[in-house]
Amino acid sequence: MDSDFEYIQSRYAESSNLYFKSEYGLVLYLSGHNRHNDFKYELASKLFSLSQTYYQAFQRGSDKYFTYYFRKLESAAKGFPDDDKYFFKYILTEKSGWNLRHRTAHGLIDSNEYDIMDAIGLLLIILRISSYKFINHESAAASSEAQV
Amino acid sequence: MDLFQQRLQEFDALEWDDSNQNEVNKYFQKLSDELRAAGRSDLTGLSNLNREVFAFNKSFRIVSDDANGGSRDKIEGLGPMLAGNQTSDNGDIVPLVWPDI
Repeated sequence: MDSDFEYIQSRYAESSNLYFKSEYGLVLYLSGHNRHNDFKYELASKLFSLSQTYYQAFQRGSDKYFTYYFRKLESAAKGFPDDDKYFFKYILTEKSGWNLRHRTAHGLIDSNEYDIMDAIGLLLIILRISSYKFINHESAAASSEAQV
Repeated sequence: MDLFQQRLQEFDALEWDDSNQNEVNKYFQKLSDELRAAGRSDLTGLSNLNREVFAFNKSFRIVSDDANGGSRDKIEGLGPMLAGNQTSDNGDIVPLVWPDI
């Protein structure tokens, strides 16, 4: 059984097709064989990096890759509901990721260097945050006191 | 390079996405047949394992963890594509689950 997962791990490492790598990686993660935060972070990072390759293919004229890129970004963002912080960190502050906050706040990119990738990353963060249920603890406490 | 490695390399070079799930399934079925025909039945297990990876239902849905009394939630995770009962040659009814690794 362990040898099966070792083999899947090797296939995951070898694959450079976004779909194939996702499938091998997700089996490793969802089987519980590799369900730890380091692997989760690595998987998300690799899929995002690979997505960038697909995005470059889109720039060369492949619509198919662009649609797929969108869907994969969306599923990767949805895929880690308990750990949005990894996703946010990857986009905003991780040196090996996009590091968008750093590049923006420190003036490392000019306005004409922002591209649709940055916009999509930020849009996905906004979508994730918009799915949160925010609770006003002060009014909740006041309401429970009033009921007593 | 043996047949199995060659077919895997050809597979990795394909520009398929998740709309090609059926093609992936057929690809590895055909590869298993090819390996048997070439006298490499020892490698059909790996070919089937590749096929199973793509066949699993993969779900991030949050469900109750019944194994722990339902007190905690968990990610649903991997599920079989096929589940049911099968009648064996001697008439016994045995559960069938595929894939299952």
